[in-house]
Amino acid sequence: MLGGTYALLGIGLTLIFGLMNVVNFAHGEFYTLGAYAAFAAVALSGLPFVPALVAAMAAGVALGALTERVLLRPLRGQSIDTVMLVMIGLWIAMQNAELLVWGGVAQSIPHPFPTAPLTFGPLSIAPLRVFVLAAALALILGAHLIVHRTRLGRAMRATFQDPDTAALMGVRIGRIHTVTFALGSGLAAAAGALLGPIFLAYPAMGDLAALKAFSVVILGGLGNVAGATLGGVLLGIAEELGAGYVSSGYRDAVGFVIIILVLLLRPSGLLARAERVG
Amino acid sequence: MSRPGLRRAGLGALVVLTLTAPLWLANPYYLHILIMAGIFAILALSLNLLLGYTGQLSLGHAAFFGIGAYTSALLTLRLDWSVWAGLTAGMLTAAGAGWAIGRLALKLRGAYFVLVTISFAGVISLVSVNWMALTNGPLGLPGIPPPSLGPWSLRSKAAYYYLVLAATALAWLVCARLVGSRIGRAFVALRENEPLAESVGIDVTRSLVLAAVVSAAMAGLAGGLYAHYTRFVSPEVFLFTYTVTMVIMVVAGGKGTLAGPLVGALLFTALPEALREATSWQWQMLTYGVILVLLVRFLPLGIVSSLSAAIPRAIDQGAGPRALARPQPDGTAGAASSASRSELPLSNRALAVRDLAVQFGGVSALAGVSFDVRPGSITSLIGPNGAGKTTAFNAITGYLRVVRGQIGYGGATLNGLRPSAIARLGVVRTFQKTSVFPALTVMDNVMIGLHLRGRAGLVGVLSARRWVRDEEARLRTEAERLIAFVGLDRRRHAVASALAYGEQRLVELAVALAARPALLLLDEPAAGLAGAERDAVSDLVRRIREQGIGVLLVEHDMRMVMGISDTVVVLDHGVVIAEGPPTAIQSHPEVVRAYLGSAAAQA
Amino acid sequence: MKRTLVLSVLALLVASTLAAVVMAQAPAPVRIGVIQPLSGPVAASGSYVRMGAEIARDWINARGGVLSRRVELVIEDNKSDPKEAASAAEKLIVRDKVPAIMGAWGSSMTLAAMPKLEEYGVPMVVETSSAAAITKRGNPWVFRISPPSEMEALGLEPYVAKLGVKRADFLAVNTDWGRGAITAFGDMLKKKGVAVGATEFMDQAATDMNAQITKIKGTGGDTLFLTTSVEQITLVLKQAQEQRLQRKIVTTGGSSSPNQLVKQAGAAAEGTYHLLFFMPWFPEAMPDGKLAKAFVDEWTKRGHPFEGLTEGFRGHDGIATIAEAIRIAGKAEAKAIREALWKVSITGVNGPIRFEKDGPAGKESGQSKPSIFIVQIKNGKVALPEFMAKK
Repeated sequence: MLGGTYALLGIGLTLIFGLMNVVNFAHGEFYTLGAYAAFAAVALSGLPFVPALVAAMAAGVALGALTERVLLRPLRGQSIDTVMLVMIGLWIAMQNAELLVWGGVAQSIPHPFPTAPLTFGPLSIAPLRVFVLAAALALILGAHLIVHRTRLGRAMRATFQDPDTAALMGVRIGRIHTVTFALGSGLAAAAGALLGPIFLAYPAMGDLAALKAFSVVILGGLGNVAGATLGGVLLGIAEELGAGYVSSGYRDAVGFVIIILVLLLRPSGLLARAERVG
Repeated sequence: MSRPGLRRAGLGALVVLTLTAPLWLANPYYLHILIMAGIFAILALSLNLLLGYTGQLSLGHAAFFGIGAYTSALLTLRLDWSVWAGLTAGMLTAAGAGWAIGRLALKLRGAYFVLVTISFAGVISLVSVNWMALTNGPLGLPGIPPPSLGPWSLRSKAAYYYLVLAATALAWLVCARLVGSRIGRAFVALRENEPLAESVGIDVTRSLVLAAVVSAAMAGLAGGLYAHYTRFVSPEVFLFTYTVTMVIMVVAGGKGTLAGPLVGALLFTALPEALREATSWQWQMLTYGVILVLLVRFLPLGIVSSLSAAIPRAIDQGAGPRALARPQPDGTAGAASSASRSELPLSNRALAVRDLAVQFGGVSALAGVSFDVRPGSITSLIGPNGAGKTTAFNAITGYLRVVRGQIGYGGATLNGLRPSAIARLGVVRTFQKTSVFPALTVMDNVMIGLHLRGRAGLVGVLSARRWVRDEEARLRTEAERLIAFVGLDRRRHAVASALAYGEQRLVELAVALAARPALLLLDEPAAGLAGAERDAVSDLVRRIREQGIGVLLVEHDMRMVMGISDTVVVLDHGVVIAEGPPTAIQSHPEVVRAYLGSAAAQA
Repeated sequence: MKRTLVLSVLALLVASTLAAVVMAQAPAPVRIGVIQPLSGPVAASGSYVRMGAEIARDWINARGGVLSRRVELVIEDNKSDPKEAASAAEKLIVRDKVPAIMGAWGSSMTLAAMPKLEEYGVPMVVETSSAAAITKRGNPWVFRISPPSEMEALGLEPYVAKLGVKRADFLAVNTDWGRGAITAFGDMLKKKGVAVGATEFMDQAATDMNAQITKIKGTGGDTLFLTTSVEQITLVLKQAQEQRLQRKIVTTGGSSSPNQLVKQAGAAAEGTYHLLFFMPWFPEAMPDGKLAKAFVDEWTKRGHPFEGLTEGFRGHDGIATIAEAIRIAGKAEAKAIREALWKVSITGVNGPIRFEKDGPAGKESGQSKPSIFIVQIKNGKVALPEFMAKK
């Protein structure tokens, strides 16, 4: 469950961070944005839950595209730290804008599923969680297909591996940047909207989520959708087991230690292929 | 004359203003802001050493800050140590942690290094929350004593201000001295071009660990100062936002400059407080974020770098060219050129490659190659694309792992040595793709090449001993000679990336020669060059041979190869198909079939 | 290089001087400083306290102010960060020249601000923090109206038997507050002969507590004591329901906001008990029923969320305490206000406020003994538990 959450956040970030090389500190804010957009749609405009999910994702895509056009495009070619700094600024600004708009009070997103858990022998799971898990899997699969099976995905990968050649081949580089960032942001927003009903929507919810997303992306190997999925699931399971067997106070430490160990043993992530040096 | 005078006056005024701040700043609240700014300036300087100079981003810097704070707080509270001893211990403990992280993460770069530092900080932070017996957990440690000097307690703000000011000045001095030394140049070399840095003998591990240790020690000092100032430490010192604040200060101030972190720290400590005045609390952080976004959007290089770029003649990336303000008159260059010949060393050692084999994921790139390079001779390695020439280069110089075979040099064997260790033995290489330190001047490029000829260590550099300064001056003269030797003396203050392609290749040669090779491996030095430039390179290679240096050359230009080589080795599909003097090779039937035929067809 | 440095530093100096000049002269009103977490993870709670403080201010001003001067609140955000709390205290005291402060919500923020009080000699009324250390440190400028965890545990003591607690487990947020609560309640329960099973912690920002709940499920206890923010309580209740944890659940700390739990946790909140310091559902059952009723009405009239009341009353009581001290002192001067705080005897929304000495002799802090209440969620409504209703 936790793994699915991390994976969903991770694949959005792996596109932005892994492919575009943007250290996107604002990723967690798109997650928050998704949760609040879903809340606004369901609780305030009375939209049903599933269209609200779509609306939240659309909001993420729109704001992602806008961010890329206004902030990232003029900074293309600047060093990675500079771009990171602008995203830090955006992160602080967005989080406090959310605080301003919604207040600090946590919001719960209404959903149509019954709260009584389904029971399979010793296992019990809420219907909402089943839906969220299924939706997350569908999104992960969708993202994978887009990146690996479509013309757009090919253009994306080409653009970020070798922009000059891609441009020569007629790929519109600027558009690809926008689309990639928008897609990544949309996925983050979708994660927020999906998890909003399980957890709660509040302005600072994205901070921890973003940190975990970064871990997942790097664990899985930069730009690797399958790797991010695997990394997410592994991190989730590790933390659950860690909390169960070590001490709940050290729960997050288990994740950190695993990250350090993995990176020391496999310095370019779990699913990275050996690269030719020089 | 008026402008430097003005500058000196401005700087003097600034020093006076800073020193007298407690007198004219009637309001202790402003003094408080200045103290916090000073503490953060030390942190920013410390982070800048890693991020700005070695190019490695540590997002776990709050860990070193926190370790310093907790160490000093605990020792003074529990063991009644004096604050000074506590501060020192905090610094040392943080340095120890920096050493551990440096060792641990030395194989990792970029994002992976970032993640390890984040994780490390995360673990330390959780320890501080959960190890109740030691740290008092989330309750924190209240009642930390203020420092005292003999009978006087430094409890007052003004006293503490001077303490922090002194510490900041010390941290700045440490940075300034490091940056202007061979140690600092090695940091920058790693940031700019790690393989090239290794090829001239810079030990990557040592340099990175050293940078991490010094940086962590400074952060630890800042932590101790913070603890004894606020007199309360809680796990919040490990908050990620502290690290983020440091990054903001460094990058927005101007990373890789000495003034940037100071400006950044002052601005971003004052900004939130100014916003307290200017707007109500709802808008403070929002405005802060927006200002940050706008700042980066319009001054992407950081305040200091952007300002200095806007002011002509004030360009300086902080990495040393400052010291070269006065160019030598051109007359000395010719003399230097002749003098350098006598300086370049003679060696009797030969390279002996025996049965060398290298594989890439099961595919054999070299399958048992043997050849020799004698001192004072030019041996060329030729063959069609994919024959394994560059692979052989990489294997000999330690950039690739060898599956089988022996690489002997003099009495030593090079197998398994790191590139920097091989360079130390006198075997130096260049790279096929142009490889310089792009953001640095020609002079700085060559100064980095001279790394192995300096002796100055951390202690020597920090104490600025006389012999260290003399050594610097000597290296500088030597660099000018080398630049003249390759014929670039008029371009010595140009930034390498702004040079013409041919000139960049000459810079490469000068950098390699600076490492004082006894054996020089040149990977296509004339690739992409036109007639006259090509002849200049040929001539240069001959002159290098005259000095007794053995040369191993990979080159596609047959006219050049046949013109200057003493011996030619022909590779095809990872094996040697012919070896001998140029005349013999030209008529070798196998070579003609495998290689020269196709080359002739291309021409 | 040097010129760059000079230019940039000069530019900065000019900028900061300009900012400094903006400072206005202190006008006639009595200014009271307020330090609360208004951004960051606990921003909601801090905002509620601020809202309550504003109601107190408006009421006082409507009655003609204090010493015939208007009361003005100078509100500062401590961003849920101790360093910011210290900076905010410094700014309030030195720049705004407030003679008294209310703050700073969390214990670590309060502890970080405390050296500043001593340095400048300005009293602070602590409205929320629960760490015992606050009044035990010998800081004579600290006056607390919220109960430390020990006091809260003692408040629960009479009801332990009535709740039928035989074997208790703890789940708390891993902060000074959560840890303090576990120690205090654990000690009290052990004294009453109750066995203590699992003691589990969760990170402040954690959202998935399934692992902890699984562990607690294995102890075979009958009651779970839960100490954390209302957001995490919601999550724990939901996840406990999913895991079918059959326990009496008692939340401590007074921040649980049962209405919000009913709204957001729904059926999962059914049957849970909550220790509170204010019962806005039954204002008439409070020590000063009329005041409590008026506060609830005013709060609702302003459109503040009802669930914030259990937090917001603290702001009211803190400001009312300071205003009363200023009235007794006869002047808005820090030292006089501190002396006067010892003489305050009012009834706030929570109940009587009167400070007793606490901490090392000669440097005692003030500690009031707040009233403590217990409610239960029944049929989706907040109700008095049977044993309380009888009273």
